Amino acid sequence: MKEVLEPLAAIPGVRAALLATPDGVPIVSCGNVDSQGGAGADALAGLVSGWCSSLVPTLGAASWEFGQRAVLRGSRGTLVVRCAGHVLLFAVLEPGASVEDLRIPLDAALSRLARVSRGSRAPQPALPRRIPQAEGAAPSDTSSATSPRDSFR
Amino acid sequence: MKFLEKLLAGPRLRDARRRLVTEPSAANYVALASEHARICEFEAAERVCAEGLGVHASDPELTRLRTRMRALQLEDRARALSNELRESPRAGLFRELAEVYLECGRLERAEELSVQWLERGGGGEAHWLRSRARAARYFADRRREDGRTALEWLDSAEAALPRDERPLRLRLELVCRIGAWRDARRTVAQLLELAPGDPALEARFRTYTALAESAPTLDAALREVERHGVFPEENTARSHMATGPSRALRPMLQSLAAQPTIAAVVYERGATALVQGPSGATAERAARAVREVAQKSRSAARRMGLGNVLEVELEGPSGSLLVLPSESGVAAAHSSAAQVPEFLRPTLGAIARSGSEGTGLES
Repeated sequence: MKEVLEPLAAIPGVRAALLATPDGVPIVSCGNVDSQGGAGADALAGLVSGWCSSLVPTLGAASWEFGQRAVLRGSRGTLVVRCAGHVLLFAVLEPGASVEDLRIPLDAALSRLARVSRGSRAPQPALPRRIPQAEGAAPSDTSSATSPRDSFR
Repeated sequence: MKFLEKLLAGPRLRDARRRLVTEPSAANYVALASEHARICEFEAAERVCAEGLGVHASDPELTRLRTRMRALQLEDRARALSNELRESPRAGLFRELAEVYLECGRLERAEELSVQWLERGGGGEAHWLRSRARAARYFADRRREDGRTALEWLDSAEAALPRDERPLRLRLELVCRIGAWRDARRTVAQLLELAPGDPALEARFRTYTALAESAPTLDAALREVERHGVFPEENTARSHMATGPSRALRPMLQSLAAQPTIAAVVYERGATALVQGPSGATAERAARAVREVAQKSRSAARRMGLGNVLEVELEGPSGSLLVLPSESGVAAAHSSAAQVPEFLRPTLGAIARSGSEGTGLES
C-alpha cells in the first residue's frame, strides 16, 4: 500500500499522506508525519478520525450527511480527508498549497487502493485433488486451468 | 534537462505574456505566474503575482500563488543552507536557517535546529530563537503547555542576553495577548530599566497598573485561552462589534440564499444567528450544526498543529457545506451541489469579513 501513498506524498506542497481505519488506527503513512505538531502517525490518525466521527452526529441533526471528503484549512497547514468504505485516506498540506490540486490524485489513490485490496482478496485457484490410482476413475475436479492429470502423474 | 524545459517553455511564456498585454485580467496574471513556476522561476512568478495584486488587489488565487511562490523560494533557501550547515556548522548559518524556518512556518524544525545549536554552544541567540519558535507555536495552537514552555525558555534567553530587549518584548507580547496584566506590568518595568524614560513604555506601565487589579494569574490566563481557543483581546473586539445593530448582513445573506443551488446560509456571532433558507426548527438545527462544526474543527486543528481554522469544507451525498470561521463569527453555506460552487467562497468570505468589520447583528 506504501506504493499507493508515495506518489501522493511526492506532490509539491504535500507534507504527509496517511491511510487509517475509521477508528483511528494508522495503516500506512508517507512523508513527514512526525513534524505535524510532533504528533506522529498514531496521534494524527486518532485526531483525524476523532474529528470526522464527531462531525457525523452534529451534521446528522441538521439532516446533512457528509461522508466523502472533508477539508480543514488552518493557518499552519491544511488537512484533506477522503473517506471511502472502511478506510480514511488523508493528506496534510503546507500552508498555501492548493486543495483542488489534490482532488484527482486522492481519488486515483483510492481507486488504486481498491484494486490492490481486490487483488489481495482474490480467491486462490483451488488445488487439484490427487487422482485416484484406480484405473478408469475420472478426475472429480477440473477447475484448474492446467490438467491435474498431467501434473500429478 | 532544465535547459531543455526552459527552451520548451519559451513559446508558452511568450503566449502568456501576449495574452496578459491584450487582457490584464487576474486569470492571465495567474497563467503567466504558473508558467514561470513550472520552470522553477519562483522569483519571477512572485514578481508577476505582486504586479497582478497591484491591479487586482485581494484576488484570492493571486494571493495564494504569491504565498506559495514565497514558500517555495524559502524551501530552496532552507535546502541550500541545510546542506551548507552539514559541511561547516557555523553560527551565522544556524541563525539564518532558523529564521527561514520561522518565516515559512516550520516551527518544529526551527525549534529542533535551535536545540542543535544550543548543544553546539549557541548561547543566547540559540535560546532566543528556541523561545521565538515555541512562542509562535503557542500563538498558533494556543496550548497551555506551549505557553508555559515558551515563558520558561524566555527566562533562559533573558538570562543569556541580559541587555537585550527582544526576549522582554516577546514576553510582553505573550502576556498581553493572554491578558496577564500583572506580568505585563512587571515586564514593562524590566524594559524601563533598559530604556529609562521611554514615554510609550511609561504609558503602557500606567495602563497595566490600572488593569492589574482584576487580572487573572498567568496560569489561569493560559488555562482560559486554552479552554476557549481565543485570546481576550479577540473576545473584546467581538463584544464591541456585537453592539450597535446593523442590517447590512441580511441582504447579503438573502442574495446568496437566492442562488439556485444554495439551500441554507448561516451567519453566527456569539449566541445570535441569522439563517436564510430553512425556517423554524430546521433553521435552529442548521445554526447549531454550524456552531458545533466550527467549535470541533477549531479544537481539532489546534491539536493537529494546523493553527487557526480558516475554512472547513465538507462534501457528501447531501451536498456540500462551507464554513468560514472568522474572529468575529462564523459564516456558512450549505449547497446541494456535490462540490462547493466557485462563486460561494468569495461571497461567503465577504459576509465573514463584513461581519468582522463592525456590522452588528439584529437580535
